[in-house]
Amino acid sequence: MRASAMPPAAPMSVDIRTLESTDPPPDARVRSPAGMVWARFRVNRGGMVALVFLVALAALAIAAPLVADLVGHGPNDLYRTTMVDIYGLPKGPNASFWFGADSAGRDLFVRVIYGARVSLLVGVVATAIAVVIGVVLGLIAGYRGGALDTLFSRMSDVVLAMPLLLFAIGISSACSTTPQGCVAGTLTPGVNLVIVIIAIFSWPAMFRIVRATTLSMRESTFIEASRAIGMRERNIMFREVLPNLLSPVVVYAALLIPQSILFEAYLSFLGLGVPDSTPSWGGMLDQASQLFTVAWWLMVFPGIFLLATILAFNVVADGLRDAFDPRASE
Amino acid sequence: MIDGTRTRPLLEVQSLTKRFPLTRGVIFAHSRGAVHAVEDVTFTVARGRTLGIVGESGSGKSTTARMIARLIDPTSGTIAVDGTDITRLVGADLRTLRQQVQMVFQDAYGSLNPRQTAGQIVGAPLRVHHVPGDRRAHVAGLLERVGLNPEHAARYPHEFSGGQRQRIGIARALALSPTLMILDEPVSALDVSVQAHVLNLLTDLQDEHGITYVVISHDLGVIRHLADRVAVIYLGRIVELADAAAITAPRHPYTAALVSAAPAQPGTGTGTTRQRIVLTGDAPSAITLPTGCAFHARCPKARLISGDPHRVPERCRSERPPLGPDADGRQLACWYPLESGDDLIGAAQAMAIPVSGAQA
Ligand SMILES: Nc1ncnc2c1ncn2[C@@H]1O[C@H](COP(=O)(O)OP(=O)(O)OP(=O)(O)O)[C@@H](O)[C@H]1O
Ligand code: SF4
Ligand SMILES: [Mg+2]
Repeated sequence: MRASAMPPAAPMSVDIRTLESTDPPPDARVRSPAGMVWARFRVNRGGMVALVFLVALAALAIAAPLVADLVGHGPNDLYRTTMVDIYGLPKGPNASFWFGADSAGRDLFVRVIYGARVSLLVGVVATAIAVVIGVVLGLIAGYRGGALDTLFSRMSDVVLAMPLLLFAIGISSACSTTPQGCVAGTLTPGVNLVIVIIAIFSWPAMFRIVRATTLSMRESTFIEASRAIGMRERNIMFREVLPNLLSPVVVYAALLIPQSILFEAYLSFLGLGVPDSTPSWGGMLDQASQLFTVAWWLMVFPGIFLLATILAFNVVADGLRDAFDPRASE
Repeated sequence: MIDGTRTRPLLEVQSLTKRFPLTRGVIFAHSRGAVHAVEDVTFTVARGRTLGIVGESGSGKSTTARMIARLIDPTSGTIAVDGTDITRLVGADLRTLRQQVQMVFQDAYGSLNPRQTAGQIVGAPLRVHHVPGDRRAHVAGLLERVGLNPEHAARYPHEFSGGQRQRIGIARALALSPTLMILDEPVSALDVSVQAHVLNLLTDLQDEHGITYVVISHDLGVIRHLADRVAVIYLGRIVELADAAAITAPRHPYTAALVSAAPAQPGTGTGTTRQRIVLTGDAPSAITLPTGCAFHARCPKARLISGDPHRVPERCRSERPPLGPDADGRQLACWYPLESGDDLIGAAQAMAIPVSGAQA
């Protein structure tokens, strides 16, 4: 009965196996999306240089105690007699103190390497917390909409509207007055407190990006297709939408890390970050600000490391964004 | 066929209507009219048969498909599959329905998650519905059945050609052995040379499994290739519903325009060039529907009746023709159906639009 009045169309029975030759065969190289991103990133020279720098810095930071052993100076060892002159001023770089000493007579090189630990730790951990909060809330808000969306969006608006530094100073000084800290002793002064403060202030940016991406993806055909096969909404959210958020989340996380590092440096510079016994680049710059007219190295070495690290993360983020952008490949 | 349950159509759509409200205002959202995407659509499809729905872009074809697949809820009307109204199913019942009714999407590439392999995509329905057995082998069998190399299960959608992507979509729809399959423009995004192969695959699958099809297209050639019956839809309403064989001799002026625009050989694009009825202007807005017959502003037949290329009969302008059977049993919504000898091409030309071979 089908189309009986028709002139015969294309040949009615086609051997299915011959079809491969009709449709052009796909690219012979089988590559996962992640593999393609890496392939595109690799050819980006600036991105690779920055990545190598960061990997080397991370290796140094992890091996900081080893470095201290090799140099023979601990980060808090005082060399008052050899490295501080009679006027109390630190001495500059020499053969055994490559970056010179600070005003307490401590080896600046060893302290800068230890400072990388704090910076990277704070940057990575605070960003990780912000990513988890931002992704979970953003996914729910963007996909579910409704009252939860309103609630989470208002929460992020409020955080973004807060005078950031003022609140950070308030929280950190409130929690730093006693060794017991605040919030029933859960937030003790030091690196933990800095990480929590930074995470509180950086999740809204991640939230907004995830929410907006989810919102547009919610209408896409492959989500509709998942619904058509009977997939549950929660599984659609975490199995279908979430993997597609990888690119904006990774790129934005790479941008959040240097922001967090800088934030930590601000706090430490203001004396509200990590205690002086824990070397940090911000804290060193704080000390340098009073002495750099007579001791340039105090400002230059931590400054260069801070700058180079921030720059490297931004270059890597840029490279990742290009590598993720499909338009860059076509 | 005497038994009443056996002759009951698999799909019965009754007075199906979908209006998308247009809301204005950010803080105090209030409704300002609606898009009348689908209006009072009624049809049935017998088990194992194919209904074709044809119409211009924006005529409400995909909206109808998405309502039948329960992806959007109708504003009113009922959809019965196997005698059960599915429009209000929720929870476990809805999930059971999903196994029966599957859909192949207009945008084949967009319907595939770019971060999943072909194997994961085709296996997803099996996973969701906990289909027992060796899933990998099942997926390989499905891929093979739709003409794909099972070894390509590890590839991602971007690595396939357009035709292969649509095959992945078909394999996914096939995975749960549905009784009803909605094919929304199954080949419109494909090269003409690939179209025929995919259409043949669909025909073979139907013959093998006795699946009931609702196939949607703006291309009458595709419809004629697959369908037993054809519903012609204009601005959300069925204007003509007839056997596929009879649609080549249309009685509704709009169908006549579609037929004259379609190449004689379906799916190949190499038809004999004929003169076409060229419609003037775009389809009217689905927000403010025209009064009377929705087609009256573009209808050549109405000009033939009035005898003036710039006038239409009062009846066409003021009274909407209802869909009803004509003497041959086809459904028709027109006050002045085509008679043999009507010169629609002449009338269309007289509407001051040059007849061209390039535009429909
Ligand atoms: N979610 C929606 N919200 C508002 N309007 C919609 C929505 N979906 C469809 N429409 C409108 O409903 C009408 C019918 O759309 P539909 O997608 O069903 O058309 P179609 O026949 O499938 O067209 P095409 O051939 O372009 O796919 C159009 O005017 C469209 O703009
Ligand atoms: S009712 Fe009138 S305007 Fe509508 S299709 Fe028929 S002749 Fe044309
Ligand atoms: Mg459509």
